[in-house]
Amino acid sequence: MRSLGRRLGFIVLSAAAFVAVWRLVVVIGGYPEYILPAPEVVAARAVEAIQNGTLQPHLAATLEESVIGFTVGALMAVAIGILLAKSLTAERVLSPYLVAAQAIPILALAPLIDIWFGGGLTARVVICALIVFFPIAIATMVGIRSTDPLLVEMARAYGARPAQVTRLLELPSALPVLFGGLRVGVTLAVIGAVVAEWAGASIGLGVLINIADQGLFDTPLMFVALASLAVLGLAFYSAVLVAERVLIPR
Amino acid sequence: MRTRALPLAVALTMAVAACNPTASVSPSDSPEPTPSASPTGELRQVRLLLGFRPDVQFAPFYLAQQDGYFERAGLEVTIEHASGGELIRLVAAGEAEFGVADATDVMIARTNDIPIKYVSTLYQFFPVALIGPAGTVPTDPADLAGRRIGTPGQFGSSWHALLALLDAGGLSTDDVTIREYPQFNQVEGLLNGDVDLITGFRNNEPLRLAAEGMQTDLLTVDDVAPLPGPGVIVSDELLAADLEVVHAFATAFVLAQEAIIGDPELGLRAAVEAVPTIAEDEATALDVLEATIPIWQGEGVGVTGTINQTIWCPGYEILVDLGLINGSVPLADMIDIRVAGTMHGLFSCQ
Amino acid sequence: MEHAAQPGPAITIEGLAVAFPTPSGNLSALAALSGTVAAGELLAVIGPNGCGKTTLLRAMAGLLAPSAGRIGLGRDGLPPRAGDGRVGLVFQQPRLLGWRTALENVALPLELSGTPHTERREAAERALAQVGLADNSVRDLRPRELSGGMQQRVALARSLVTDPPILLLDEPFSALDALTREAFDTQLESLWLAQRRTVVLVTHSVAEAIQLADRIWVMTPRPGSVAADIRVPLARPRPSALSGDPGLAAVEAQVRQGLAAVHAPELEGWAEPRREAAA
Repeated sequence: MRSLGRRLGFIVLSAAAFVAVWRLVVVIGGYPEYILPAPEVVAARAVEAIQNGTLQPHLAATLEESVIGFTVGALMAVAIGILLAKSLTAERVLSPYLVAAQAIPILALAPLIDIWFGGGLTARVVICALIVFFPIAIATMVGIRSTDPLLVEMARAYGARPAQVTRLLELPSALPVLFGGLRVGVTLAVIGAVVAEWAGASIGLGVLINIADQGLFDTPLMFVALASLAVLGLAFYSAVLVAERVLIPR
Repeated sequence: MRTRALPLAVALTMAVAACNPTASVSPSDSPEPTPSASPTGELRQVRLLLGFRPDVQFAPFYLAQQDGYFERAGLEVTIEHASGGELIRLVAAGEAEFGVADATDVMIARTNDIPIKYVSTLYQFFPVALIGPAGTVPTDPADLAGRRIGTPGQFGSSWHALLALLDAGGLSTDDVTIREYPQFNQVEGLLNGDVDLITGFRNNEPLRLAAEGMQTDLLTVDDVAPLPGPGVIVSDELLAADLEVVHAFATAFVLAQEAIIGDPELGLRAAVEAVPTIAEDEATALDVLEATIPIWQGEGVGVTGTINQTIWCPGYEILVDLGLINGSVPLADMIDIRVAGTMHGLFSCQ
Repeated sequence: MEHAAQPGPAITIEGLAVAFPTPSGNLSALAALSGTVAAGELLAVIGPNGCGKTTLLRAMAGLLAPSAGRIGLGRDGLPPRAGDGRVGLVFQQPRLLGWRTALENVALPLELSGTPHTERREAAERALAQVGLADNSVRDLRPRELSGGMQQRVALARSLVTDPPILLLDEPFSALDALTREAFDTQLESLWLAQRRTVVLVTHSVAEAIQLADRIWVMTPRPGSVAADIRVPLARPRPSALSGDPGLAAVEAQVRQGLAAVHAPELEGWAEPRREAAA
């Protein structure tokens, strides 16, 4: 309990330090509000946006896209990661395409994907899933490949069939590395949702950024949207950490 | 000092002209631009930000740069490109002296205390219109109900035009289906039938659609919901510190624009010089330029650059009605008529 | 459970040959190896590294198939098959699953063969008791919370959980310190005496072999076969290796002779022995 209190205290302290530095930058740099608003201005704008209901619909939309996108992308990635780990042929055949696809900025393809999937939530989930896919697939592949062969031999000596080796040995052994990939993937999910919105959406935090920045010239509101994305990312990351703590016994 | 006489002369000329309500102040009445450079003859270096992407419609600036109009005004102008939101902020912060921005964006930005002013008009008419296949476009905005409309997004002059037209027809965004094209490719949506109408530039999209085999009709804001068009903006700071350089710039660009109005080929040549890719389709570029000229000119001849209160005053009210601005900042704080003058004498919104 | 009551040999090996394909051709690990292990016997297999003792053990466990010859287990003489519960295998490293508790690790062989949860938990607890880890405090610990010696005891318990008639041990204590090793050898002997499973112990320690085994096979260098099959006629409990007991010394001499005969080049001394100055 004490260490939990200490950890929370540390988080609060570091957040306060961040806000203090931000304020300092604004004051020392003399930045006008339309370039870099001060933290209290953003906070006030956030309260206003929540009170008149501006923020919630956008936040809910991005939350929905990123959660579904991450889930779909992660499931696909783990399945493909297992395939790549177990089949050298699959790796040789698929790797070049996966790497090339990763190198192409999704931002360029997103509008096409949006049109192919008829706009709407499906298109955005697809874009988000694609962005989330690669790090998780690679982490799964590496994690499974790095299974201790001595353990595999032991399991085989006691009669483990291939499916049992995967389920009881490879997957649990790969969990630490896999969760590393999930940590990266879950933060990318937020970015993925925003990229998807920029390809064609009328609601969401990415849309709110555009509206606030270019439509309303309301820089504090844009920062509120950015802060919301940061909070979303932190929440997701923490969720993965909790899952990690539960699933990987220490 | 000698240079002090210039703004005084300009102001006096304006005042004289303003006393005669029917007289239009044309740039030719203003004194010839004298170099506001230092006595050593050095050119003052300034930055001009144009929107988004180099294009033939920026020909007056290219020509002014290439044929010495800016030079004669004592300016060495570097042209760069920036997107709408960034552009206004950069000019306000003093990172660039001049920019070309949408008047409606200026009104919104100014209401949010971004310290810029609109000083000279590039387009007298609002360049965005609703575009659709010939024969399907309503002339009465009320008939827009139930239509599917494609637009880049909930910001910028396209959005403002759409909102203004809907409002003029007694409609709201709930009465139509709006599809957003953040990559500015709403033309594709019209071509493949995903939408019935799109917002677009009246000097551009119709030509592109015609090239794809679609003849089009337009519904413009001019008659139903007049809005002011894009023009030159500067920061409050520059206006306070150096009105002469602003005037010199504005005058130079207006002269160049008039030269192109008289001879569009001049503009094409200048654009090709500045943006070589335009040469890939000079015929279309010339068509676009020739379609642009009437929108630059607006009501009539010889009013290039001036600020038109018969459009600005109702335009301001429309933005207030739409809720895009709250009226806390008056129109007088958003424009500075000293630079390019007014089209209809004394500027007043009565 | 008494295992020595089974009639007939526990393990029969006839002309066993095992070869592995390598880029430069076939590597012959074992060649023409024959022998039998009686039920309830403790056989030690000794030889330096590379002579194929581990390969022999893996063949007995059913982990690899012979290139020639055959192995038969038990009365039926059926070839070994991994996971059928007839063989328990202990490796040099504990090879425990780090994310499972000691109890869950011990239960693994039964889990793999589909034994229901309660049943396998009870069997695992009994197995842990056999190696002296009935204490609750170890049961729910993870391997990294256990010392090396304890981990190896858990691994031993795992090998016992299916109550196999045959136990194969591949240098089980060579990764532990010498003192622990001595203690574990003694415990292993007690365990074997109580249960009389057939045990094959691969080792490269002459002392360990003599202390534990009824018989010792000295392996030839690669390709391995049995160079010498030495009976150890000493009574149990065995005298300690340092006691100077003549019977023990005789067996030791035999073993060392057997080793020297086939492994002389590697086991040769490096320098002339120092002669102590006479007092």
